[in-house]
Amino acid sequence: MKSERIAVLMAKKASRSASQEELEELEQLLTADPGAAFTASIIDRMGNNAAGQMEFAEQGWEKIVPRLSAAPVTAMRIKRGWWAAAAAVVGLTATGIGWQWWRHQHLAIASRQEITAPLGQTMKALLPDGTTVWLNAGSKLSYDQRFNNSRRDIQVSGEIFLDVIKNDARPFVVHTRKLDVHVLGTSFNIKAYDDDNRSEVAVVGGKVQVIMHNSLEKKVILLPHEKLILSTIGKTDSLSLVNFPEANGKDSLVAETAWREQKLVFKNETFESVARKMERQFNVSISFEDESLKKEILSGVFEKEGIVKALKLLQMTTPFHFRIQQRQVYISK
Amino acid sequence: MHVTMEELLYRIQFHDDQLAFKALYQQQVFRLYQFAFAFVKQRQPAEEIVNDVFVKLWQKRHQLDKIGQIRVYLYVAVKNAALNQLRRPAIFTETDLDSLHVQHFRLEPDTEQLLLTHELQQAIASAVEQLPPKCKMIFKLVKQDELSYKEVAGILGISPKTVDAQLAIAMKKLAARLQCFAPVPALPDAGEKND
Repeated sequence: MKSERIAVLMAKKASRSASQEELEELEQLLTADPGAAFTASIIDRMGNNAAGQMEFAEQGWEKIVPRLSAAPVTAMRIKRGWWAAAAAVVGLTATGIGWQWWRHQHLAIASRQEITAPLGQTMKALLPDGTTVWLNAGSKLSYDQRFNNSRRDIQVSGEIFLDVIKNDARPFVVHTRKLDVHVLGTSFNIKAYDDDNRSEVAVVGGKVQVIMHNSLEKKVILLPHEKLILSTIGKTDSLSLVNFPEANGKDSLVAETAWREQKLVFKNETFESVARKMERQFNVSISFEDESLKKEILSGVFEKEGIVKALKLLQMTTPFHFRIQQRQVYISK
Repeated sequence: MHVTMEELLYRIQFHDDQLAFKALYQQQVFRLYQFAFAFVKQRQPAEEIVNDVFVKLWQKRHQLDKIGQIRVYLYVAVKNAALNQLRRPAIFTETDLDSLHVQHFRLEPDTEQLLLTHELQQAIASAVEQLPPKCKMIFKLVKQDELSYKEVAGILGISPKTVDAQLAIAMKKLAARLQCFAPVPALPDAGEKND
């Protein structure tokens, strides 16, 4: 019967399981039957009544917000119960130990470990698995208790260099705002400052796999001396793959790794981009009073110079003036 | 909301982003509340069930990537909590006045385009309410909550074929109930059509 068929096709259309042919068939059946077309159009247009939903959500949210900052209830309760019993028996001396133990357990559940390099400083740290990490100025790295389980996940904002201890059973994954890097035993550099519209991954040794958040199906494998650059202009991302030179022995004047030795290296970069690096390196804020200077192309190496000396070095190749007020640097023509 | 679900989940898991969590809550809470209400038939317990599910989700946020389909997960969590609640001895013995408000959450057709009469709106609401329970729930999940047949199958623990079959029953019943509202041809000589 036709009405049976219409019902079946309407059902498929509603649950988004209808094929193109089935949709066309439904269309034809409905054209031939105005009565069925009328009821179909009513059913088609039924949707959620949005009125009042936002208010409902707001009120509910107010109720749950205070509960979100509390630690997981079940885990705490069990531990507190155990602790209370133990303390009663062992007495005061044990209190300190018990407290430490409880605190350690508690922290392991609830908190993330965070390593931050303040502006104007680079840092070197050792992760629990023996992996060495260098953080460039103004960078942040965090991980939680899962780090020691089956996977090693870290969250990064800023620029870091990693020397990862190889362990095939426990993949090492670096998450940044725009991309993830799956490490396959290696040393490499990641630059992904939240306020930059550019993310970079550069491999020194080994192999990594990069996954872009915006197109998860796109996976890029990087080999030594390969660098992936993800630039975002407006809403579009563009990818490019470039080679970068090998560091010559101790004289590692490669921008990707030199920052670890407090060196600031730049090659054919715009003044604007160099200024951004300098802001992090020297913990200053740099503003251009003349827009055209931003586009000047600069190359150079700074080694542990102060901001004044660095700017004076730049003046040797590019004519500009600067003045410094506290931590604010003004660049003008 | 221009942020994708993936982006929201990522921010919640790795940035502990409460604003992202709030966005997820706002997107889903009302639907889940309606779903919970369908089981427990009382406003306050339904609200509590849904809020508990969200609080637990926040506590487990660092394992979010282990959850396959977040929407299915939320509905299933609400369903399980609601069924557990029903198994417990009833705490609310007096009639829950709030349950009268359920009419607010009926399906609303797009009134402007159809110029529906009040009578027809009532008929639509009551036609949906009169569907057999399972049929009604599936119809609401698909039409109201915009879930796919696969998601509905996952939530209710039935096969996708059953979802489509139940939906077809709903469509047939609704069509039968609403047919009498179809505009009659204006000309007097237009014959009655027998289907």
